[in-house]
Amino acid sequence: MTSLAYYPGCSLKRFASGCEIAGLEAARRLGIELVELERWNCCGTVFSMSSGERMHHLGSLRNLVRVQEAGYPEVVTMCAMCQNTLRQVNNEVRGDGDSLAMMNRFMDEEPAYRGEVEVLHYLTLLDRLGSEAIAARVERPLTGLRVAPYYGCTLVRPPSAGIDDPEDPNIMERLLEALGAKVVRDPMRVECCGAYMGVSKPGTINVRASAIHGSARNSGAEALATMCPLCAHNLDAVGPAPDEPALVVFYFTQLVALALGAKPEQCLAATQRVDPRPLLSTKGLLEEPQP
Amino acid sequence: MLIGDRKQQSYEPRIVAFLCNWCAYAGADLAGTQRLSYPPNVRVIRLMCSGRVDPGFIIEAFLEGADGVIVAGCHPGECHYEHGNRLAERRMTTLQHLLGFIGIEQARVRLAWVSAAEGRKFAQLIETTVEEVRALGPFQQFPRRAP
Amino acid sequence: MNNRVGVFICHCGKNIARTVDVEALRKEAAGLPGVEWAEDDMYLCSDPGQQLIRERIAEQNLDAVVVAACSPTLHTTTFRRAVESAGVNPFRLEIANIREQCSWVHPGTAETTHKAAALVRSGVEKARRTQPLEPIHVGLQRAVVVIGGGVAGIQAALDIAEAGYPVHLVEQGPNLGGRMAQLSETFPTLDCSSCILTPKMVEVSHHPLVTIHTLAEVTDVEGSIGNFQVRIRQQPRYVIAEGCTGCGDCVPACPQVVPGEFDRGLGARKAIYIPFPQAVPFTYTLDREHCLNQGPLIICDRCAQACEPRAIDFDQQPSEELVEAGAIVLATGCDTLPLSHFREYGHDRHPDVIDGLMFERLLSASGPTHGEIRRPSDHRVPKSIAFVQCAGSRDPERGKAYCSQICCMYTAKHALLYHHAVPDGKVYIFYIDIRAGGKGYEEFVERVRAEDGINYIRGKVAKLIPKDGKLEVWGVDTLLGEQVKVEVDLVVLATALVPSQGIQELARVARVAIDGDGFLSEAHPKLRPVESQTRGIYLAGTAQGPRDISATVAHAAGAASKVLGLFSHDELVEEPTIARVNEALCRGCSFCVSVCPYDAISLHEGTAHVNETLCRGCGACTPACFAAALGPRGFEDDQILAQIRALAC
Repeated sequence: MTSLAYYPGCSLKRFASGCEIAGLEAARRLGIELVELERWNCCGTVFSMSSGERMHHLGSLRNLVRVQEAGYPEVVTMCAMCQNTLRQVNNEVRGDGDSLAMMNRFMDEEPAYRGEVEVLHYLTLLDRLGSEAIAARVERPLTGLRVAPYYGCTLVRPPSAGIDDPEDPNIMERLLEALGAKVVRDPMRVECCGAYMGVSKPGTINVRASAIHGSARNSGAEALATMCPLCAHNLDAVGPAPDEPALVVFYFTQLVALALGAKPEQCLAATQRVDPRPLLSTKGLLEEPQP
Repeated sequence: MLIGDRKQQSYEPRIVAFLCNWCAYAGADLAGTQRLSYPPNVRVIRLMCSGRVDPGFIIEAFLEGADGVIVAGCHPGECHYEHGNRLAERRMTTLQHLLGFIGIEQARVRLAWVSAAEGRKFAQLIETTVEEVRALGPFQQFPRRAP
Repeated sequence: MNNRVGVFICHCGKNIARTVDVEALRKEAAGLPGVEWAEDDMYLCSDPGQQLIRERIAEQNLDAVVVAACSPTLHTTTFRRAVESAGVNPFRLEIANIREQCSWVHPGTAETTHKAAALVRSGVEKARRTQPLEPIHVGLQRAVVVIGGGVAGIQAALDIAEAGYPVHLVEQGPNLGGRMAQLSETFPTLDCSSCILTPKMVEVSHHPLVTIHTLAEVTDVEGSIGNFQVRIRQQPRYVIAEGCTGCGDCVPACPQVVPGEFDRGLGARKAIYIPFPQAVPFTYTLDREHCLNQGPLIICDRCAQACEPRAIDFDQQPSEELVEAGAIVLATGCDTLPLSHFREYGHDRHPDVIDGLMFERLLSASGPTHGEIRRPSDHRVPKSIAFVQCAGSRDPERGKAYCSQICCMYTAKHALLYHHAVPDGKVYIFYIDIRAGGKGYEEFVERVRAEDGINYIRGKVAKLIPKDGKLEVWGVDTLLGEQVKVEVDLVVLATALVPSQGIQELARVARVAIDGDGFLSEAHPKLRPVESQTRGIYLAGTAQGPRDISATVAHAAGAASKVLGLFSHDELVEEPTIARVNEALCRGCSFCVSVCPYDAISLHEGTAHVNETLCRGCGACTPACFAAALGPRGFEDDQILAQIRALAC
């Protein structure tokens, strides 16, 4: 069993717990042990792009120092936002020795960060295993389930922190095919979900969610799959306007765990507003896998 | 005799400059056309390319009584002969490492890039080199050759 | 050593005399070793001044001359002529620059006169060590290889052949014509492209001095200006050119249908084909890659059966030819950035996203739709089109930093031609800026802008979303500060021009430089735009950078005129100031070979040998030589060391 450092981030311990529970179970079934860092803190949530705001990057750096202390070359994240923030901060100090030295002076109570840790997203980890290796472990193929991957922004943008092509990503599509699902290409899969606009202008989210759900539905999808707690919140918990139909929104990890044969209760979060069970039931995906 | 032994009188450094025909020499001409003024301590030898400068020429200049040497050519990437200035740079870098060994301060030898449009840069180059070499004092490390 | 040196000092009116004590200088000069005569004059460059020099040379029997005056860049030629006419070899003239580098930059003090005296002394020391040099005469092969059979290559070949010199026109493809043959009509006059190009293709193919090599490429270039040896590799056509009558009987017989390259994949051709009806040479080509006969065994000979003149030969082999040429013209043209580059526009998923050259084929009367504009997906006439300019151009992050020069104009032309064909159609042109800097270009764009139904929207297109058989274009209107969404039937990308494939290999073989974008580098961007950095190799057309047809033709004519200038002499006359090897001293270590920027030095039987036409006399080889066995004439070690001695003390 391979051991890798794992950074969960705040959301996965709270309202996005379904993502983590399924993701850890799926990793275990693939022979990967994700070792949660003993101490970790908030990643800083949003990478601050104003040059005078380096303080906002300290949170991420401290987490990278924790990984370095624990002696791991890489750290795995599931949350799209955490991976984005950690990666951008890492890129910034790696590309600029002065910046790294300055940040280390800020954190003089910590061991100096050497800039050697790699931030690895969970999807990249699976992709590295390869579609064939994953397909070989599938016990409950998602046959007939028409899923539209939804990337949103932070998984693919900016290009320097993205895990795939920002305009035309394919990583979730490749993995879904390995899981046996029917991949639906939704043209809006890299559009913004509305992000934090929900705070200042709540109606925006319904408009965005309607557009994204509508586009995916028109493309033939029965469900959306995402890796971002904020996207999942906006598309599912907030969702389209009340009179419009909503698709089931999965965390991608939930589909992986389900296909790898995990029990449905390990895969399905109680927090999902649109209940996935009826859909999965019609596809026969809640039954015990046939040996 | 107009030119006496200047080192007996007040010290005026003597600088020999090797300039490439296409950039640095043209830059020096432009300084003239623009009527810029710089100290008369510099003596120019025109070569077709800074790549022609043999490091031996520089040692020879000191042996003959120079207090400082300038080698100037086209900016990197703009050499009239594709990459002659790069050769000059490599030869001068190697020479710089050896100068101390034979008792010549590194600041007495200067490699510079001067384009045909940089008359002012040429004048400033002469000014600063003359001042720096003046501060080092006359070069007396080598025995003077008999004339 | 020359011991009868004459020194002539110019006052240059007061330009020199104001700060330099000319009389003191003259006295100093007269006393220098080797100086026979020293004299000053008000203006040496004037006719009386030159006359003075000539007279003194004769009277005093001078063997070398130093002129102390202005910079050598100004009057070297003048004074060389003057001394030559009095019987002194022009390379025994030295100029001491006492104006630009002395009297103009220093005050009127004794130190300035000291400096002038040192410069004169340096000049005298060098002049004493000068040798008489004679220009080098090299034979000249008055024939040309033109690489690339597009309009640039055709123009250059015709201009050169018309002047009476043989031309080898080498084209990689099966026929001449290049990009221009693919175009429908040309801006801003809307001339039919084929109609103006075809006569030129016919003319070049019939010209007695032009040899056309199609399906051919240059694989090696040896030699130098005046005497290149060019290796041309001829790929088999599998159709005997002399036998093919162009009847086309082979085509219906062929069972293999292939997407046609000439129509950018919008139309089909057979494995035996001719790309377009006006093709020159009008000879069919068998594309063995798509032919049923892949191995030595012939399993299908239907074309051969159908061919009455028996012109099909499945056994043709590649051949090579070595051609002697005095000059080479590179006219290899351009390509466009592939549609697959634009992942945000998703061409692989949307067949109705095409590039400008595909749209040209749709407009062309001989194109796959016979000139009717029909979109690829369902062959319907599009009722609305979005044109996206600067697709890949002016986009340093994701594409090319440069402007492709022609897209603003051809997009305007496309919009107008579409509007003529579909008067109720809607056109949206997304642009960053309109660049219409040519004769009649701005007027043309203004005419198009004034058409009803053609909307220019200043802004970029973010992405294309397929919707009910149409494409929704998401863009921005930066003038209104609004997002734009329009639904259209067809999207045409004005993709960036890029160098044609294979240019890097050709540049390596021909030893010419390419720039950061892969285009061929000119010798000087302003003053030598048709010359490569390798003498005798000239550039024509878009191989050097994006340009339109008229600029390409002008560029090609410029390259031809450079070749003709070279050929206007019976032989090459080269400056003698190049490197010379003392064979007795050379040890054959080859360090000089590795530093020469021009590959001008080679080892022959253990001794360095300088190619006199390649050497430019920079002298970079001399410091590399441990044996002091070679040096550039006019800047030899003994001369420079004497100058150092004169200046340093």
